[in-house]
Amino acid sequence: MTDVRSEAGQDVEEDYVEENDASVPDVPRWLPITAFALSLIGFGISMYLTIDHFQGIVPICSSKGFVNCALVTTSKYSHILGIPVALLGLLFFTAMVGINWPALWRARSPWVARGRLALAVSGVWFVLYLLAAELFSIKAICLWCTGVHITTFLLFVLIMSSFPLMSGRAARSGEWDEELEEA
Amino acid sequence: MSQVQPGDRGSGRGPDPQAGKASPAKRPPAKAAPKGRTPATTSKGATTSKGRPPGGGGGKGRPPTTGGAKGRAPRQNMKITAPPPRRFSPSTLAFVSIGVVVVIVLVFVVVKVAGSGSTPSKTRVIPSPTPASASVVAAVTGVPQSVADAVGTGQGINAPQVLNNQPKLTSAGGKPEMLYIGGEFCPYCGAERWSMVLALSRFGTWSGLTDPATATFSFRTASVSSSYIDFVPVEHETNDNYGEGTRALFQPLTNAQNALWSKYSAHFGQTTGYPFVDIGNRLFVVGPSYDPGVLQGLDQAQIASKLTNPKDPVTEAVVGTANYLIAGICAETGNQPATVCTAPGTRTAATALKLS
Repeated sequence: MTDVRSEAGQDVEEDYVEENDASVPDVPRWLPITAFALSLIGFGISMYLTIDHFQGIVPICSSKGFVNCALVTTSKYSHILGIPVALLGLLFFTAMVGINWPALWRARSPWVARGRLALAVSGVWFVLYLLAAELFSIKAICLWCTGVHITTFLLFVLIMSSFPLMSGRAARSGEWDEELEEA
Repeated sequence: MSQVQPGDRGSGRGPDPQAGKASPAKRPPAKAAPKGRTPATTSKGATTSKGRPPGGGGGKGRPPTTGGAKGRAPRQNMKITAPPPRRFSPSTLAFVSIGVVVVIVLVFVVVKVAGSGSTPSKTRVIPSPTPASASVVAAVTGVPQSVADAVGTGQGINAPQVLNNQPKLTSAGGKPEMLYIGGEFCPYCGAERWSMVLALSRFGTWSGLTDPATATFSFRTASVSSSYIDFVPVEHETNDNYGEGTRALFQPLTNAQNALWSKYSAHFGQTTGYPFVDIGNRLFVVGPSYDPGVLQGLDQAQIASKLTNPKDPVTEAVVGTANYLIAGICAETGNQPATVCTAPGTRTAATALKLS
């Protein structure tokens, strides 16, 4: 990794650096692979739930007691503004698969990391809404949905924790912190 | 006390093993304090136990400088320069965000567990059907044709939707099919059922109508024996006590039924809702035909007793809707039976729907 300022021989306007940081943020190698794998898992589950939804099939799952996929996937919470939640999930994970493509983790544009972060944050908030609906309104959970929720949360953790490394500003902040610790 | 200058950082990628590549010694001298910032040097509180300045984050992650050679000052002489007031570093924000989500999930779980522990869980009660009153059924199915003719298309009714050139919806026996999808809890379905009972009674004989303990019928066990049309009722949800959106599925939809429900609801700009009636893929009821408030405060016997008065709002709504349904069925049965399909009330509705 190189430092754009040392190459330039002079300090560079911070905003410029932030938008044009030539350095490639380093994240552990396992992180992009894990994020991509989680995205694929979420995509697969969402695809299954979407197909079931449009075919009118109840997912393979318990239909009695607290674990009741039929109750969850046919409740009024299974649609948002007329759009099936399963389809929203599929669209979400389609975007996640795209933006978590391993090569994109090396993208230099900060907007890739920002887009990834925005997706992760919106996804996890939606998961919280659906979790609340399951626990307190529907009073049942769907294991397939829970799988999607866990996948979304893990992606959120990965993306959130890696975001400082992925943004130039955050990276510099990290340098500063590290230096201070050394001092 | 040593002083740390903003440019006097290591490679600063945290655990990055590449961190040491960019040696501070190679760096050019730092400029004075970053633009617009006033360095604030402190000798106390500049470092925390972790060596961090108070605050953190903000200032685009860079502490201000007090000037001096970047990377040249011996560490033992370094002096920590307090940054300008900062909020949180991105790292802190990231982990706080993750923590917030975890806490919210834990709160959900704790509240759920505590709630279910302190109060006995609600037992789902699905009311058992009781046979509908014979006199009520007789009153509805026996509405005089003269009343139906007088009502015509009634008042305040949302006419069904007509769609031509669709694949015919027929039953296995080849007869036109009339599919109904509703929920026992659904008041709009309850209102629609009155009209459906009347309409279908013109084409066959009802059996199995039940009383769902509200002022309507249930099609849970109902059927119509008809040589003209096959009626396929699906009470998709019960009227159990679990509340809206959470009721138990009672009669599941087949894939084909679900596809029809989705396709034609969407075609008419609606979400899949109750009631849904599809007569031969030509005439559709997507949503309520009339305001169920018309029936409010009336029991089944009272509603039935009003159906002989063509001026009564209840009759206008129930019979007017029934005439539309009858006209739709007639369009699929080739206007059979003729006595029903050529009745003035039916013709009025058929004309309004442009079915003739």
